[in-house]
Amino acid sequence: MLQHLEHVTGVPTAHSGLVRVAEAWERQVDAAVSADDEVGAYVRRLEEQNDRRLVQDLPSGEDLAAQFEQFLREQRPDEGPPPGPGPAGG
Amino acid sequence: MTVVWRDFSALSRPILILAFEGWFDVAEAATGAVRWLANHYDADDVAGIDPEPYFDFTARRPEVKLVDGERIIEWPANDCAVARLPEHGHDLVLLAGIEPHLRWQNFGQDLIEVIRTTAAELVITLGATADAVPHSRPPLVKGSSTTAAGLHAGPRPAQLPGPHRSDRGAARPPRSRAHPGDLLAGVGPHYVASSPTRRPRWRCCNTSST
Repeated sequence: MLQHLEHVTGVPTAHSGLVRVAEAWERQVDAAVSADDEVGAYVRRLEEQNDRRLVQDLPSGEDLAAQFEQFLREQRPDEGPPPGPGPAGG
Repeated sequence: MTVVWRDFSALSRPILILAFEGWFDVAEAATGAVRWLANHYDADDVAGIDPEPYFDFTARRPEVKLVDGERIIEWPANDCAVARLPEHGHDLVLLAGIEPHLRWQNFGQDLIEVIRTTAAELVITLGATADAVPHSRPPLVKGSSTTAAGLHAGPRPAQLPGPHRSDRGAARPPRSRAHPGDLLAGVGPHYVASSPTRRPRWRCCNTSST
């Protein structure tokens, strides 16, 4: 959250100072989760759901290619489709 | 008005960052982030909102402390601290408070007074909720904004549906123009929600406009 806040405000948040605390917290929860088979299985299921969602959110190769082609067309307007009729000059 | 100003002078392009203990602060991830900033920048206390009209003290009891042999009562605090950061282009006004029990509309007016007096050009509310997400993956941080230009990422103006929050009176005062406001909400694992969740404070690999 601090990292994102830094992006929004442009003011440094020193979030790297929390890396060790976060890692210690994760190890602590890892230990608690692995001590209980039922909770461990639940967390693995959440991880799988999370990872599946991330893969689904990735754009396909075809989408990327189409966007890249559109970008190139916008960079070279002279090779784009002919402009439509404009407003009548006076 | 119940805002008590202690020592305040004009700020440079200030940004107000709010977080409140309570329903929208799971594992103190939001208030913890604001307190982290206040400590990091050694922010100066400039104002406080009088707790008397806003709290049921039987639900949130004041604490008695002994300081140098003197008995001091600590009331539930909504205090503002200021970090002056000329090198970064914005001063920060930091309010890590407690969601009040009573009179939310008046509380919203007090927040508007804080916004007007500090001349904050942007208000950012931090929050944290719990959901069915694993602790072992980067936490999701959702962002929304009351303005089209908010969050610097081209999101559409948004309103999050769901339970009301006490600070929304400031972002959308009744019958007047809303103050520009952004919201960042971290999502932590619900199965460890009762312990301090540190990760949503600093990690964010996945953002989305809602």
